[in-house]
Amino acid sequence: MTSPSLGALLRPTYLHLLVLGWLTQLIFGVAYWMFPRHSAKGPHGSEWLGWTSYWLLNTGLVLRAIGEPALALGGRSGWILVIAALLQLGAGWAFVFNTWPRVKAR
Amino acid sequence: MPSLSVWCIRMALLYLGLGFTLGALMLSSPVLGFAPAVLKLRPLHAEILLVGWMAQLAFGVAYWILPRLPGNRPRGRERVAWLSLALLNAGVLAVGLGQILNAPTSVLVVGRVAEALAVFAFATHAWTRAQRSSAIR
Repeated sequence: MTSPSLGALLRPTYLHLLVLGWLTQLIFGVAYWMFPRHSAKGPHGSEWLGWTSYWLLNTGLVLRAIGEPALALGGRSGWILVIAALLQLGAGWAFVFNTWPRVKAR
Repeated sequence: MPSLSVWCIRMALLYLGLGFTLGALMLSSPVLGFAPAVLKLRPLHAEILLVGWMAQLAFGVAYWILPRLPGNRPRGRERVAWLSLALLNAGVLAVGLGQILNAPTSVLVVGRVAEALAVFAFATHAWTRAQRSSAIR
């Protein structure tokens, strides 16, 4: 395999590891930490939803990092990508639902 | 949290959910068999997540947490910040939808100009608030 094709093969994985695994996850973590308190009893909203978002995001990211290059190389890993897509989708909406009530005017 | 930040951050959260939904559709498209149609959404997916989600979230959080100014306008020129919010969202929609709907190039140019003006307007607003601590409270 020549290096340009290897680069093209890994480009989507590289982009998503950085933008999703680094930037978006950093935002999720900092927002969970410093956004206004949800309530006195549960300042961070649903802790369960927070952890769900974390695990779904990272599991989905790892699966796509495996499945995307494998599919491009001709492997039969399409189902891994479907699972990765569903996990990441769940992570995003879990974060939205948990964060939304904390974004409020004083 | 000021109302402008609430609007910015909630818009950003909606873009996050929408962008992740488009991304999930694209990622699963090889198996689900609608790849050609769905892959056309890539520019919208990128625009929504990079500008609509990340940049807009940064605007909202910065407006909220940057040091406040002394006097009766602690958050500086509020109208300029609202203008940047409107321009940014107009730009995201024009560029994102324009690319997938094959809109004329002029629509994309107007959208990018709106985004650039949004950044300039926000920077103008934030500049006065980003000062040494002796000038702020």
